[in-house]
Amino acid sequence: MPETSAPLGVKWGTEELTEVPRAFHTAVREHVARRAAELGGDWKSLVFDRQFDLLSADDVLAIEREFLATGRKFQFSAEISIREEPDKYVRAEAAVTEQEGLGEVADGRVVVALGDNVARHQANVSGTIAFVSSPEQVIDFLTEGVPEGTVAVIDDSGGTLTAPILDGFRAVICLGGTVRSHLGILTREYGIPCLMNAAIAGLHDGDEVEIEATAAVPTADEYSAGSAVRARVWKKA
Amino acid sequence: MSAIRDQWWDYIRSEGDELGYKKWTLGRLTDDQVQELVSEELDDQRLNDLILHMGVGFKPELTRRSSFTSELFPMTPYICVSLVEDYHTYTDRVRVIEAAKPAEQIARDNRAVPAKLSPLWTWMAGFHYLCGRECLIHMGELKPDENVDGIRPVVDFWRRMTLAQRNDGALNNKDANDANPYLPEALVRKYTAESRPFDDDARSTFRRLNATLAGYAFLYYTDSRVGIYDSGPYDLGDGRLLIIRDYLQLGRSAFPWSEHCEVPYDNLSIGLVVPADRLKIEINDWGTSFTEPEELLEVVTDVAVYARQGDDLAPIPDTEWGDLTKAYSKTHLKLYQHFAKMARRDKIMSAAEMYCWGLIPFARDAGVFDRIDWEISKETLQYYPDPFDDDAATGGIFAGALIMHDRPSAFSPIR
Repeated sequence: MPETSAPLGVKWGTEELTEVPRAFHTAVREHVARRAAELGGDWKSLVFDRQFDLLSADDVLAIEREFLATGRKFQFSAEISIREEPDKYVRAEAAVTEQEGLGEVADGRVVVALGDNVARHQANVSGTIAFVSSPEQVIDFLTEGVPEGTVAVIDDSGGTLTAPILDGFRAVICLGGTVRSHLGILTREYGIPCLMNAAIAGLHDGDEVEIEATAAVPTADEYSAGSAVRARVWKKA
Repeated sequence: MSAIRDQWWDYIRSEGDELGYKKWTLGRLTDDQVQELVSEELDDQRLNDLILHMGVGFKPELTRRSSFTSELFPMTPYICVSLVEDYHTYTDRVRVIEAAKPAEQIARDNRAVPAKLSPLWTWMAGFHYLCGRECLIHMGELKPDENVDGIRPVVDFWRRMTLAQRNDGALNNKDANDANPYLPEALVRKYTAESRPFDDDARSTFRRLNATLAGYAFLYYTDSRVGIYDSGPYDLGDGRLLIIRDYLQLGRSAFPWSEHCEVPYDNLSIGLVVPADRLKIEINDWGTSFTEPEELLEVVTDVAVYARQGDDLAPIPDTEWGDLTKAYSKTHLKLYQHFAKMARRDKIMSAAEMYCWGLIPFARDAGVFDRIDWEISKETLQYYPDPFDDDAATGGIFAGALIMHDRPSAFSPIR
């Protein structure tokens, strides 16, 4: 790399944690490094005067073609992406339905979520789904009260976002974390059924669901081996 | 070198299993043996061995057991700011503290009172500092063999503080069968004698109080576990175990947001008696209990709740638990609204200070609080906002530095 590689090392040299961004960004970084070496000169002039020599639109399209040729696809942030270019994008939900048992139908009910049970309860619980993701929503709940029977779906495994209203939930489904995350610990202390690290498919605000709060709690060994039995969430098919 | 020193260092150097556990064969060390270890010099070889021992036990805790997300606080940015700040400042801060009072003396002067100096704060002094070093190594700003003489005083402060505080020869709960029964026997007897059996109503009222305190403590400490510490289990010798759960420093303090925190008691200490045959208890180094197969609060038979002020413990009868729950809930809401309105940068810096100020209790005990500059340093702020304001970049730095590598230790050796 050119002489000013230190600032790159701080941010852009950091390897991405997930496969798709890592593969794509690595290809971009390698291309830029190669072109910079070919072009010569200092980094500032390359970036400010000859940036399109370093990385052009055609270069990005070539990297994209190469990436797609490996059979991988991008996840999209705007619905229009998958409508216009269905061959390039994949729905995130499609990926999670690959989890064994998710989407299974039995006795007129479909499994819409699977998660790790934080604590074993004596009976399953039922309630109405509400996605909760912002402090503003929490403050609204505080002002207006949490509706009876709310099952909160939360993507934040921290212990602070929903703590002031946690006691009002019938149950919690958390889309991240582990049974040892702050949210798992807090729900355990309140005695509220909670599934952590949940995968969901076809779950929406207002859905009536039943949560398998009686499912076994993964032991530490099962958890680390990835062999824990997952608790289920059903709704009417 | 004495036999116990040899055996102890052999243990430190031994390999861990896939969860970082090693086979401890030394039993509980005597006071004299612990003192022997405390008084050792930490040469380069021992420093290297100790760093690897810390890292081997720590890495599985990060990979298996936690997750770093919070909607209310930008968690990986504030963690990176605080860890790197610890690296930049702790060497000097620890030197000022130790010039006034040695680490082992601070620990011994305070270990008779539950969580007056939380073992978690001790843990943070060593581990957060090394995490900061690792982030800088990952960022290409530091080499593993650099600044050995700056690293040594901090790791040695942690080592001697931990040995003297635990007083069993172990350095981590993992070394001691996932336990830290560090409080003196007299205190254990007091909690046990003064604990009262539950009826169903009292259990329910207690559950709400305990959960409310936990939720408030997580918020007060910006979505961290810093304000909660479980110690034990203490074997009562009659088929029962005691766990002491401390909620600490929940009221007015050095934290600016604590101006919203008028609470009935700053510190609460709770004794929980459980039948030993109902569950296996693991208390991790962050002072959090996990039990199998049953859930802890379901099997508690007796409980004692105290307000701690300084060294004094005043029992709180169950008739007050309901009012206490309301009072902490009310303060929780005020604090929540305060944090929800805070700008992103202020949240990051506030939460970073919360972590970095983990040394304040030690500095106060040594009488040198006013001789230390507690502001976040220029050396750290050079990385803010780029890259330390960026969630993805800081997530990558933290995970890349401490987790996403092939070596068993989260921390790089110095040689």
